[in-house]
Amino acid sequence: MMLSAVQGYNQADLGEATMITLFHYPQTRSSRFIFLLEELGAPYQIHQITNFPGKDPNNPHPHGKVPAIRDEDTGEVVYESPAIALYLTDKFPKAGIGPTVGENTRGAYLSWLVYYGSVLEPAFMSKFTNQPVPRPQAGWVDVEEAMAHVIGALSKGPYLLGEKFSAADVLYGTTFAMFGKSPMMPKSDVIDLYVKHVTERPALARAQAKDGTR
Amino acid sequence: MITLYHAPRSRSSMIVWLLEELGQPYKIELTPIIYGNGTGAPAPESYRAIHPHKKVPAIDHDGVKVFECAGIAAYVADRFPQSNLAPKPDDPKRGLYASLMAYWAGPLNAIPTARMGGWDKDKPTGFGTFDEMEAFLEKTIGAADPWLFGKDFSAADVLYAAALNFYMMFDLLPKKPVYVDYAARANERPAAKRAQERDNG
Repeated sequence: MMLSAVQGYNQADLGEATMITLFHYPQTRSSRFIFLLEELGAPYQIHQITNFPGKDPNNPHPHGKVPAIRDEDTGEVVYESPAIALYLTDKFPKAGIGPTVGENTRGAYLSWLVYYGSVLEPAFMSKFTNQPVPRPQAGWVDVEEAMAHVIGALSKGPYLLGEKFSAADVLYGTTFAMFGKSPMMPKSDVIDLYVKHVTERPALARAQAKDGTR
Repeated sequence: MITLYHAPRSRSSMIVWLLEELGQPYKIELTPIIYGNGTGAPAPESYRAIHPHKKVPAIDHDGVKVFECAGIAAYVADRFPQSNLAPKPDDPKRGLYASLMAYWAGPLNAIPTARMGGWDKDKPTGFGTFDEMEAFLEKTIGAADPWLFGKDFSAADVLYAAALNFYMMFDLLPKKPVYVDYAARANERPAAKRAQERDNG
């Protein structure tokens, strides 16, 4: 088991030392959760899994994938990116990057998080594997329609929830940055500017320094 | 007041059930959609302000708009904690709750759809394999005693029971006793029966 304690933190702000373990493999879907943990100022450690893609017996993810987290306070395991993002912003509300219950933007925040996993990822995967989306039956739509919705929201921007950066932007911003100029991505100045805003954040630079090598 | 944008016998039917479980006042706004078999009609363009792809369900709670089943379920269960439909934020079951909600919207949504379209016959789809998903689902549902998080029925139970009902009806899941028993238990709830009566609006 390779554990590398990574981040110092201000214990006075957080009360009891809380520790999140991120199950991670460099340059994958788990990399952006280092970014999110950095944004949150949360105490965390990285467990770089072995044998990816495959089964690391220490990885609690049900399918041996990344990311997963374990909350060392309670032993609870969380997987699926939207769930991890929601769990962490609810657990560390002081960072102000996830609207809390009762805030007006909570509805939009939950919609964007779930939309990421249930519409945007399947839309890109359908395009990548050349499968037409059966519109009435499928719970998702094609990339062009999904991106029209995203671009519409970001045109008001600068972030998905408007003025305020949130954990939803960690998911969407890093996805669009990764696709870059891929032909999968509709060309859009709005997206280019959004990617610039997200990728310029100091927490991302700190996260990239900790991403590790394969 | 909660307004539910709903089309009878569609994905929004499970949200009627959820709102019956929630016990808060709500009204149904019947919304046209195109059904999987091609019947129905598209919603007017103005509906895009409520749902970006003119689908159902969506809700408006005193001006707060939410769409996506799992998003709506997470929203209402937390917003009305007295309904006891979600483990509280400091409950150790909260992690599994969040994971199962997102898993429902992600792999459990995409993988059976891929199977329905026959996309996974020749090559991997990228969503994960059907067998791996099904093994996880069997383990998860098999552990329900009687519900996913123990004695307290949750918003996640509405989603999983509704998905099992739907997938078994269309033979996208085998009718294993573990699924049949859990779904039957859930369908017997008074709120589920009231929802069936209200489904047509």
